[in-house]
Amino acid sequence: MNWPEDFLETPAFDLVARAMARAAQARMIGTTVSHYRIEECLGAGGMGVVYRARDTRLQRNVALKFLPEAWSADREARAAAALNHPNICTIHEIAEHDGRPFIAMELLEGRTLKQGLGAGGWGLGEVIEIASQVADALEAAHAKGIIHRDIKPGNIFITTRGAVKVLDFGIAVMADSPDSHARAAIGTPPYMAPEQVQGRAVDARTDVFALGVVIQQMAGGRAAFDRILERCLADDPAARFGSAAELRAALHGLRELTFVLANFERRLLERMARRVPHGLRANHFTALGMVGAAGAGVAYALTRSNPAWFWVASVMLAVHWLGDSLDGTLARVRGVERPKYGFYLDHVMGALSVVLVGVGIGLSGYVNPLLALGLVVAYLAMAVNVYLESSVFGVARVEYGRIGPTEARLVLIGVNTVLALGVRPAMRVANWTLVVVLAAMVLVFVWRLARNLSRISKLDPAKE
Amino acid sequence: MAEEPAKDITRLLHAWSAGDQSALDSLMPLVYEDLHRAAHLYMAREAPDNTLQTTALVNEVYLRLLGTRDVDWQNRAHFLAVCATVMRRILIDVARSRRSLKRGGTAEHLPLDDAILVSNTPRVDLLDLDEALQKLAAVDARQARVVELRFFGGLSVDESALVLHVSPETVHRDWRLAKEWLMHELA
Repeated sequence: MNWPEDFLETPAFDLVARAMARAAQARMIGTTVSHYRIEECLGAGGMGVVYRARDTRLQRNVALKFLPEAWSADREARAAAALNHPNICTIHEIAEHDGRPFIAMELLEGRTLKQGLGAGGWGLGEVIEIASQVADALEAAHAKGIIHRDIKPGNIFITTRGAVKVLDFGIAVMADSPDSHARAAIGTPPYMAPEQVQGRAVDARTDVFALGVVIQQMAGGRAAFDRILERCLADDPAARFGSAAELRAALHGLRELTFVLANFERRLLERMARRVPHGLRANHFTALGMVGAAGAGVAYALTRSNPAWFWVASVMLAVHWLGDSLDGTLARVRGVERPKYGFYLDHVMGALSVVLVGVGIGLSGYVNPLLALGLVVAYLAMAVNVYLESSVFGVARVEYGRIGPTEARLVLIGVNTVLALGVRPAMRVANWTLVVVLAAMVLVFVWRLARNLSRISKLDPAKE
Repeated sequence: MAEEPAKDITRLLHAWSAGDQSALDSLMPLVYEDLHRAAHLYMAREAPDNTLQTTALVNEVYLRLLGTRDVDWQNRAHFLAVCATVMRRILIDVARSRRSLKRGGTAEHLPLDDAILVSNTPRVDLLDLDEALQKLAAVDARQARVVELRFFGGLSVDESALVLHVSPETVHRDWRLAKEWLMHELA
């Protein structure tokens, strides 16, 4: 006989109350409330019970949430219904049944972040993506003066399509309203900012704190988030990001990095960024680097033998890389959005400089020209992918994992420099480096492209 | 309004902790009504909190009957002990009425898995446990009382030790032996 370890460990009343609650939930199945036929219990918690139901008038599936009797339904609905945002669960209707308030809302398929956290293993890109979408929702709420006050994994829903929806505006308040000075601390303790715990006035930065705790849980101690977390979790609201928009900008800044050299690059660039005068914009370097590298590539291809152009190309590629990356870093350090220079400067020129330098290397005869060509093609394919992701899906350079365009560019700079130095024995090393990098890039590219194509096929113009 | 019963309850709790067993009999009805009402309100909830409800419920009743000024933790432990006994009665009544409902004509309206179980594998009904506990009381009254305090009252080991005037180690041992005895009896 196997007796459970927890025999008699749960107090009897808790067992009874749970059994009664389950029975009460089961009794609701099949009943009709207003014009909704209840089909399944989706979940229950302190904030109410949620059922899947069929709207018999509009013939669609909805989620019905019955709130605890003491709770005021219209407060939640007023708050959330005022928000029409892709990252906030849509409210269809607020009504009452037998004196019990309920909310009819969009039925979401997927799981909450709380369930997801149990599964573990979040990629850096996923963490950034989810947190950015929550920040986006919060930004919209804050713009209307609504503070959520209960951001936690259980209230962040990830649909099967990967969209993030913020749920449960049950204890949301208007900033500056008398309610924002809660008499008692309301919320969920681990996610509550000090001012919320102490019952002082809450504002946008209270939600920033809670989102910071969520990011911390997802990131699981990754150093890449340290600076962001520092500015989310400060005890003093004044030391935090001033708004969800600033937090989102900082997250976007993180996206700009690819990850083999991410930490090294981040530290180096941030140290530099702090010394850069405020008026300076890194795009001057970017533009100089792009034009210079392209010019050097052309010059090498034309002269075919003058190694001086290798030097120029290397330096210019490095300047371009520096300017380009510094742009993102400056935006992150200063808490603003990364500036955009338009399609030509952001994408075409960068690609052109790499192509020309690649052609130059290929023609040099030091390395296998096919490999150099392959590297250039792979770089271009990745750049197109990045462009697709940033423009079409709103996702920037995330989830490349180990090899991305930045690495390809740095390899080009490296090979270029080795060739400029004229170190002959390095030839073989250069060839093999190219082979390995190229193979990795092709693999990542194919995987990435497949994902993006399936995303395109799922884009539903009516819904998105 | 709450003044009179509060004084009564405090006085009775003192008397009982000093060893006056008849004080317990006078305490029961004073606590019963309030706890009964609160318990049924809790049980009517469709969405139970995930936190320990016994503790929340008893605290609520304690605050209502005695107010915040009586924070004497020894008193509180004795109050919890009274609640344990009362709670056992309330829950057994609930389980009985459900069992008779099940046997009655309305069975088809009740979901299949409606018995109140204290264990799923193997399936043990609350009423069977209660019977076994009565048998245990005849063998070792203190062990049975420990189960009542811990399982029905939600008391911690230290609180139980305080009420029973024994050491926490003794409560631990009683609790373990009692569970073994009950498992054997229910198997």
